[in-house]
Formats: sequence, C-alpha cells, structure tokens
Amino acid sequence: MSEADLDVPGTLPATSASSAAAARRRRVMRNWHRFTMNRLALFGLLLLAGMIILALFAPIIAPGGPFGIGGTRLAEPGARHWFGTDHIGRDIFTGVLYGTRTSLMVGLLSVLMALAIGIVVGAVAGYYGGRIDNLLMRVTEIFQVMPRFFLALFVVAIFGANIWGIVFVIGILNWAEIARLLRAEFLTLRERPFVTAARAYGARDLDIIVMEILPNAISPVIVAGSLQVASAILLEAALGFLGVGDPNEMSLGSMLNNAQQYIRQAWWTVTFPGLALCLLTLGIALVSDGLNDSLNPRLKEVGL
Amino acid sequence: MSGGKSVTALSLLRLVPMPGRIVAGSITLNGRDVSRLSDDEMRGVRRNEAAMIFQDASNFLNPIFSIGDQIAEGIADRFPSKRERRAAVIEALHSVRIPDPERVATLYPFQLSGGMQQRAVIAAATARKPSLVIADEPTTALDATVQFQILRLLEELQTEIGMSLILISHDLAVIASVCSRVYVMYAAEIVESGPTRDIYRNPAHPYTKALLGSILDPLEERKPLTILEGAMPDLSAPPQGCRFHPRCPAAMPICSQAKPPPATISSGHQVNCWLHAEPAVAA
Repeated sequence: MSEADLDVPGTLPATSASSAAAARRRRVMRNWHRFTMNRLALFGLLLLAGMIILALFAPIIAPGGPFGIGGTRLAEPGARHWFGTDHIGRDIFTGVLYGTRTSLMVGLLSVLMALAIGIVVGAVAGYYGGRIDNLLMRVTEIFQVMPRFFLALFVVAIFGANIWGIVFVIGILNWAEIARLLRAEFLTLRERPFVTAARAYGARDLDIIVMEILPNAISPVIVAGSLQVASAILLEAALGFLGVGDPNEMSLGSMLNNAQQYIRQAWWTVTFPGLALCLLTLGIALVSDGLNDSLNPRLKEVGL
Repeated sequence: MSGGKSVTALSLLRLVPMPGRIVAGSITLNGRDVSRLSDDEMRGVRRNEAAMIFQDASNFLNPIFSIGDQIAEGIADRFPSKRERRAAVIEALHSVRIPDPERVATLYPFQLSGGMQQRAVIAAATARKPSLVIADEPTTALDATVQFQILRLLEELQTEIGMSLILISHDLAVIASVCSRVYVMYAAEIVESGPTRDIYRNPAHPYTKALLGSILDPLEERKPLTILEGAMPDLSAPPQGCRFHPRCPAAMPICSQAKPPPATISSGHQVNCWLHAEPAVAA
C-alpha cells in the first residue's frame, strides 16, 4: 500500500485533500533534509550523480568509442586528449568514461541480482523458520564460505570472459549476505504483534511478508546493497586487472592492467582510471552511509 | 503477549502461538465449526466474520505505514477503486469518533496517543463489519477516562454494526459494565458461566467468589480482601480432577480425583464444581 493510494484529490473538500498532500510533501522534504544535512552524503551523491551522467552520455561526449585510436601513443594530457593517450594511442578520457559505464552497469546489475535472490531466500527462511530456514541457511552458508575472488576467476576462466557472466558471478557471490541480513530482520519482525494482527485480519502469508514485514526490514538491506555495488565494481576491476575481463567492454581494471608497464613514462595512464575507480567507490560508500543515517528508523526524531 | 487470556483470544481465530495447537473441542461461529475449516476457509472467516482488537494497540499497528494506509490495506478487496477506499477509510475512522479523520489518516502510529491508537485498531477491526469482534483486554493500556470512552464506543459499534463482542478481561468492573453474559475461566477451563447479574450477585464457584472478593470497595476501606493462596498451576501439567482444588478453600477429597460435572444454578447459570454437584445443592 503506497501513500499515493490514498491521495485522491477531489473526493474530499479541497482543504483536507491539500493538507494531506502538504503533510506528505513535508515528510518527503524531511527525509530529504535529513539526507542533505549530512554534508558527506550530499557530496557523495553529487559525485556519483556526476559520474553516472558522464557514463550515461559517454557515447555523446566521446563518439569515437573507447577502442578507437585517436592520437599518438602515450601523448601527455592536453587540450586534445584531456587525460592523455595510452600505449596504443587510445584516448584515456574516453576510456575512463566507458570504463565507468561498465563498472556502474556491472555493479548495479549484479547487486540487483543479489537482491532478487537474497530477498526471496532471506524472507522465506526468516518468515517460515524451522526446516525451510535450516535448509536455506545451510545453502546460504555454502555460498558464504566460497572464496569469492577465486570462484569468480574460476567461472570466468571456464565460461569465458563475458560481461554478463561477470555480472552473474558477482550476483551469485553477493546474495548470501543479503539473505542472512534479511532473515535476521524477519526473525524478530515476524514475532511482532502487528504481524499477528495482520494474520488475525485474514492476511495471506505473502501479504504479510511483502506488505507488513518487508517494508520494516528493507532499510539495512538497501544499505548493504549499496555497499555491495562498490565491492562489485572493485571485483569487476580486479578481474579486468588480471586480464580476464570482457575484452569487448572497456574496463577500468583492464586499463590499469595495460598501464602497468608505463607507470614511469606516462603517469596519466594509471592515474586517471585509478582516480575514477576511487571516486566511484568513494561516492557509493558515502551515499550508502547517508542512506543508513536517513533510513534507519532508530535515528529518526519523534513527533512532527 | 500476556499469558493465558491472549492465547484464548488467538485460539478462537485458530492463531494459537507455536508450539501450541488445538487438540480438542469445537469453535462455532455463525453455525459453522471453524475449528474444522481448511486454512483458506479460516482466512475467509478472519477476513469477513470475526475480527480482533488487541491489548496494546501501539504494538499492533505497523510502525511504518500511516493509519489510513493500514486500514485501507484491510479493505482493499472490497473497495478496488482508490477513491471509494479512501472514503471508506475516512468513514471507518469517523465511526470510531476520531476527530478530523482526514488528517489522522495521514498520521503514523507514533504520532497518536494510546487512546487514538486503540480507536485506529478498532476502526481497522470493524471496517469490514464483522459479525464477531474479539477484544482482548482492549482498555488495559489506557487510563480510566479513555477506557470509559473506548468501552462506550465498543457498545455503540455493537448496535451500529450488529456485531457480537467477546470481551476478554480480568477487569471485573469493565466486564460488569459491558457484558451481558460472563464465562469465568481458571487454568484454561470455564468454571462458571451465566448472565452477568447472576454471576456478580450470586457467584457459585469458589474461584468466582475469590475473584469478586478481591475487588476494593471504596466505601469500606478496612474490608479485608480475599486472598488465594498458592500460584497458577503449570498448564503443561495441570492438577488432576478439578484444576482449582489445590488452591480451593472448600476443597473436598473428590475434587482431586475427578473433574466436577456441570451443574445448573439457575436458568443459564452453570457451574463446574463438586460443591454444587449434588442435586440437593443445585436446588
């Protein structure tokens, strides 16, 4: 049930309908205010938003594509190549744009996948408990004890370096944490009286899970998920750095890999991809921290 | 959740907390034995026939949804259109005498007082116009004036909606003012039942007498209260025979051996006690 369901202008005298809308607007503003009060979080959000916009418009900003050779090799940063060129003359600014694009895509998609699996498993295990919980948690543990990086390497090595394969592997590696987190929330929330009340009013299990418990349990999952985006980006970069990334997609990791040998002659070949990676994960970390502060109900002030 | 009374209330809707279960007996509602319904049918009963009001309303409201959303959720299937649903929510809040229902619908549980929260819970429970409402200590968490208002409200709703009310309480004054018929329970068994007036004027079971003897009389400050020795029995291993016999001031040898048969005191007034089992006593 969303708030919008109750917002039906015209059914009521104009005064009350507008006061309800005003109250809702105040509430949204309050959450937003709490987020923006946090200077670091706001900085992180601006940073991230800037990088997302650059990544989204990469094909417009740099129409040549990341693999096009646009100049002499190892050209210094200047008016023509803002970030210089790499060892075969590709523009590093373009590479950073497309690499950021790949990083963000891998990060977001893999975490979406982890959330989809983790939320279902965690909610079912926590809500039903007993044997189902036992079974699901043992499976979850199997995924948690797997050496993540080596499994990722292994899968990529066997099934070939494909961007979707990488997304899949990272998603598979991350859902267990989400599942455990959500299960813990469900275990306490399912005992809460309002769940009993929902049952007494004839709600189905699915309604109770989705409409009663999940909205109360989702905050820590959102925070953990946003942090996982950062770790997914780093994992993708690490795979790229080891040379097992998707060769058809520009990756910040593979740019760093290529630049290794030229660190001394051409500082720009490592600096800019590294900086992009750094700022990307920093922005995500700051935003997730801010989300934690503004979403955590225990930190909210009481009263209007 | 507080012990036996709430379990009884939940059991009526077949929501016995784990690991409990209903092992014997029947629950008849509107001519059907609901203890034999399938889970799906039972859910239908909970949705349409019987509703429940709880002791501490604040815990029974979902903390992160507005009052209006929570009531709307319960009636979503009856009012598919948002416009009608909103109107029904306002109507439900209005029916429990909440002032300015349009505004209260947008508030969250923590923004309401205890009395208002309880009204909101009652609105949610009665929004579907159930034929039975089970109220588990609905006023215990409230102060006396609010308590009075809520009880009045329940009585008014009874006639407005035409619902029956099962009030579960240990507050004898509340019961006397609301109920027409009383069932006295001890250790999960009914020991005496009858019209309220008969039970209060002419209690037959020693436990009922002890209960009534424990009421403070504001006019007689020095009246000693009846005190029951001992503690509630462990219900996983209840006493043999009459469950009350270890604490009963009038216990006889037979009380520890066999369960007392029901005896009729007067029309509609029954007691399960060996003291009244002899025909001579019952007359």
